[in-house]
Amino acid sequence: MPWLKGSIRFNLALGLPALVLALLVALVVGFASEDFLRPGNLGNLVNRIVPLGLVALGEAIVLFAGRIDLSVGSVMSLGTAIMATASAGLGWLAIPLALAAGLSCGLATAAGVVFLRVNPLIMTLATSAIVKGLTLLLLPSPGGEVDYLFYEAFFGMDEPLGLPLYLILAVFLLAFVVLGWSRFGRSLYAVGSDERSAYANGVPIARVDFVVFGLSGLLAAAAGVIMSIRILSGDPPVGDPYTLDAIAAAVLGGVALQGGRGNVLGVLVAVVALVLISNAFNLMEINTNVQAIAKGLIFVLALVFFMRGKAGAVAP
Amino acid sequence: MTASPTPLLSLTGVSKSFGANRVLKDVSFSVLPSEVLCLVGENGAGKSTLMNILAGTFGPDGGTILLADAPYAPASPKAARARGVALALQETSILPDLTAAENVFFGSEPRNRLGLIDQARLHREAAALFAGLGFSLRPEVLGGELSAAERQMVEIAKALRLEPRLLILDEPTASLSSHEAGLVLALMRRLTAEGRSVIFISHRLDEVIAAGDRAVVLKDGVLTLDAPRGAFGRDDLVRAMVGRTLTDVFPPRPADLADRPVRFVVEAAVARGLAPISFSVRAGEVLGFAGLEGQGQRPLARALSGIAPFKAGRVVLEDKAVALASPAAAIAAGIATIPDDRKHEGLALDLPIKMNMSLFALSRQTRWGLLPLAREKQFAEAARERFAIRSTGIDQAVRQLSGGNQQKVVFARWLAETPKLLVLYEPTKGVDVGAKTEIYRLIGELTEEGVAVILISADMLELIGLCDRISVLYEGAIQGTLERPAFSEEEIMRLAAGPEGEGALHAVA
Repeated sequence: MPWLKGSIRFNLALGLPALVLALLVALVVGFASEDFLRPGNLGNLVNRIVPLGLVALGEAIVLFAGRIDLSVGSVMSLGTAIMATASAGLGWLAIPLALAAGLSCGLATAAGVVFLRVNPLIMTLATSAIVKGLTLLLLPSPGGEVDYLFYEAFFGMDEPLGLPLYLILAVFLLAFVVLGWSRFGRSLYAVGSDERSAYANGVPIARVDFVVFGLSGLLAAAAGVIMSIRILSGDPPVGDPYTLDAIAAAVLGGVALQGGRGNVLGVLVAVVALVLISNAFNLMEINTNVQAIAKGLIFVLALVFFMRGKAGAVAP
Repeated sequence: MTASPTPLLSLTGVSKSFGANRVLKDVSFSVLPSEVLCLVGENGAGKSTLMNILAGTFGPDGGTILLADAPYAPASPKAARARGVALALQETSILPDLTAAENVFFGSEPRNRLGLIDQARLHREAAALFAGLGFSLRPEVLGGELSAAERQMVEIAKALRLEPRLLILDEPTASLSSHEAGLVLALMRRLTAEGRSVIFISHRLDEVIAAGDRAVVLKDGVLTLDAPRGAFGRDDLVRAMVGRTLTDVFPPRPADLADRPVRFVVEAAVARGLAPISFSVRAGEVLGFAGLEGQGQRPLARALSGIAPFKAGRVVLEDKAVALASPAAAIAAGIATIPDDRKHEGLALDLPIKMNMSLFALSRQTRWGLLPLAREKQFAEAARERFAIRSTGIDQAVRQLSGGNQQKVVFARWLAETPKLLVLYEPTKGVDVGAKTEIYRLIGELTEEGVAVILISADMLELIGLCDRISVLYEGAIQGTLERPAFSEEEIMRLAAGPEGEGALHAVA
């Protein structure tokens, strides 16, 4: 496949371990549990893949550029809160409102990084705290209401091959093409690969920052919108675990924390793998707190695995 | 002179200051069409500033520049490129996670009808470009895996792809072997034959004399020489650069070392990139390693310093077997290594000179694990004196020093205690003539003290001038060893080309 030549192929190959893991887990759970292949469970899997997929995609885009975004979970929660408070009055318009709020969070973060020169790690941590406060002002406790009409429109078919699946595939496919084969996508990888070289090559660094953080905020809010439709309400702490999950999915999918490496398809496969693992735990009725411990350990293992790969590639 | 052709580029009274520091003072010269102009000067003489002005990185404070008779004041590198001026940087701007081909086309990738990058065409065109330039370079290698020479080739290919009228090459040959440097010189001739002009910056004076239609020398921001081919020689260049003649660049070597004890022996040592290799060095002897780029020089340097240790074989230092299993073990054994990549392996650029000097070096002079600051200061002041480090003081950040002075800081650190064996890997890469001389003098002094020296270098003159013996590497093995009186550039190149080159030369002779 000549169009897959070059760095794109290297980056795709980084997603192979996640693919193997996903297949392995699917195989094991498929054999171990009769419930796994039931349409209900498959639909449930897709419904879990969608929000994590969107958040992880945004996080991966930020990581490609060598930044990190620790505010995605909070922005996602804000999305649910806006839906829960505004959808009753505004109807469908609540969705663009929530997305605009997420985009604004991302752009504000980028402004801090670009103009105030705050380190992205610290800046997004601050954004996260601010957004969390705003969310709680808007919706102090889980509640509010999202009309069932949204649910019917989005999840209505309640079968695995529904709208959510098409949506997530379309979004990732679009990102796959744009990041791999557009000049902008390439400049984004360039910034993550070596910021000074990218600058010397004429890449507008500030614009890259605004785009990656803007997209990250937008995608996190989109995840919040979908989450609120699923739970038919808003939930201020619902996004909290998603920040680590998103970074874990990106790293497991072969994205380098140093930037410049990885591919969104690898991230999608890693999201599937993580959701499958969590699903397996649920089917085996393992305590959720134990699950949290396992998740953290998987994250560290993935980091060690890929750091080793990178170090090995550098040594002559 | 009558009816001289209109210059392609002419500078008149160009000046530039950074704060109180006047970097360029009233510089005027011109570049004719189809001409190679060589720009020479010590590091810090103002060459880089001048190149940055021409490349559009920043503007001059005063003076005028004309390009083909029109005012030339590019606001950005992009604007400079649009006017037909391209710059191949010495500090390369290669992106490590993109392939060589993607690097060459970065920012102007060929696109298909959908506006998407055509990866197949991009790699095909890059392959054709490399082949046309005579570079043996695979377009699909990631930037981070390219050697210094290959990075430079990508940088040149990138500049040439724009078909510039004026190509500026900033020390393109500093990291190249003679063979590869020859390719660059041949390339410049081809470009001028096509009607293009080249500004060529180099520290290798032989290249300047061989390739330059005109030579321009800067010293402390002032133009000290502007002469056409034939009107300048080696001595003229050196005098214009350093303001004195370099009668004796290299320290004298003793006639006979046979009575000195053997200090260091390597027997059948193996490492990645090295075939089983055996050699020995006497106390006070300089053993050189020559060869084309990538013939095992780097693995050898890294093995001797303990960074990437030998996997098999025997290493004997002063009649005792030693295991160079880590940098700490090598240092403890008395082996000091000056790495070639001083920016990554040698120096903490943002720390002051004194801290860079005392790092590791004074570890045996600590008191209760702490380094007395007075001791550090005293040591740094003395070292600054001894190594003639040009700086505002020992508190200056190393980043602000010229390449040559940065290298002297590395020397100062490693030579705080006299080593038994000193391993030098490209010790004068990117270092100006003045600093080179000082480094050579220092090496001479150390050998007089009985230090055994291993010099791994691509600089032929340096090897011939400094060494007592030269071993030539080819594909990780020693192809042959030459003794002092029998050195010649020709003989070394013959061995460096491997068994094939040997045969070919014999056929010609």
